[in-house]
Amino acid sequence: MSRTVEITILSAENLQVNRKPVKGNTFVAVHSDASSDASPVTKVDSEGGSYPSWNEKVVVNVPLHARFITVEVKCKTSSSSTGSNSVGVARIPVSDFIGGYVPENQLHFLSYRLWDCNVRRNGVINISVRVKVPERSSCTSNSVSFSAVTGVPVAVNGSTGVVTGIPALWLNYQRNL
Amino acid sequence: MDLLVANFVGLEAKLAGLTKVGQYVKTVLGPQFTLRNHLWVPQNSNLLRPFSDSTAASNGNPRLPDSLHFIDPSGRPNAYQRAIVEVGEVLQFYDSDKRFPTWGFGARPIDGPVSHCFNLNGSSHYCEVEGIQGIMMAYTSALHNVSLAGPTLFGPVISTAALIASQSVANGGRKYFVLLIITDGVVTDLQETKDAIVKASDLPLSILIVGVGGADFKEMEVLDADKGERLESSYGRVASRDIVQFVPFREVQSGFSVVQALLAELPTQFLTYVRSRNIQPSL
Repeated sequence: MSRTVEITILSAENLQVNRKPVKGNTFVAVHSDASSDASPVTKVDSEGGSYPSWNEKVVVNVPLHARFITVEVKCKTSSSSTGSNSVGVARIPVSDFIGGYVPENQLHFLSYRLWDCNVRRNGVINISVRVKVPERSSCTSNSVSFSAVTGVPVAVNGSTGVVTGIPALWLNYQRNL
Repeated sequence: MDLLVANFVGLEAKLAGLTKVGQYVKTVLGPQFTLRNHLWVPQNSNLLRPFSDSTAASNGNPRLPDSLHFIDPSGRPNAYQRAIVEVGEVLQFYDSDKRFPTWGFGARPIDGPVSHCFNLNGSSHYCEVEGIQGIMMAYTSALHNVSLAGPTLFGPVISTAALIASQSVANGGRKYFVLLIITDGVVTDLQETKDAIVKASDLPLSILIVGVGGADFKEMEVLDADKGERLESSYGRVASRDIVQFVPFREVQSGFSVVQALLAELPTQFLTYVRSRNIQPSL
């Protein structure tokens, strides 16, 4: 079981490598812990230098038991076309956008401190996050439906009688086994 | 009534109040800051003289004239009352129902432990009061019913305000909230306060802080992010926008209103929020 989370990688600020401003060619990889999916990556920003902006939406499947999403800013190396160096990493607690008082499908604007591989502060990354809330009908076809059932009052006037009932869902569940 | 004297332990009692900046179109977006012309400027120059810098135990016994909470029988307002009236009168203009959730913090209600967020009206069920007059009445009656106590914690009040703002978002509300904190103490729970502010930066909320009295408010300037780095929480989340404005009452020079200084950033903070979310005024 997992949730679909849309993360828009907006921009980053004050990125450095070896205490010098990053020249450019940065991109961002997004990964959820407890997930074996390949990490989606953004396109490369070549214009923003140490203040790159991507404004790119990536979609991540976040397992229900995942606690963090990791975003990593990387920099293309000039020597090879595929190589890249890590610039900074931020671990984003899933609880920052799931489980609060605000509904999950709300758009959240979040910013995080980036840390380099020597655990030094290295700039800030700005993102927005929206959790895709599944349509109720889409998940009922193959699995047991847990929709609300209208009850019928079994006793009135404060009667203390006991009613025994078997949940209809339970019977369905047995049949599906 | 004697409680105040008997249990008097010290330094602080603060006031926090929350106001909704009404519905977008009716208030801030609607007039498109034409309000700047008449409301952002000093209203009554008599009220705006700088507050004298009292170095004596600032909060003291509310029954003595050197206390910031002293209720002058002649009717001259104390620093808290002036801050409530001056700032409140501008803010209430944007509030559609003029009902303000109002809390006190840094005090000990009757028979209770020190509280860092209690309903100022003394009710255990609801926190709202009616209008500025309601805040003033709740404030004076609270002074008789609580004993002042430290430390100065902002975290609980900010979290309570953030909860109200997030519940409004959850219910599909189109409201922007302004939390006004009036304090004479320097914040003790700086990291918890930062955490609460960073968390609230994603909500429709701005926080105005008025420092009264002669304390050294340097720490408070840290919360007001326009002077330097963005606020950072203890686990590395960074405020997505500046939502705090801090103004020490005493620094107000003649001819320059504390209200003006306090509210200067509010339009930008509000617009940053609605623009980033592409919220359109409902016409």
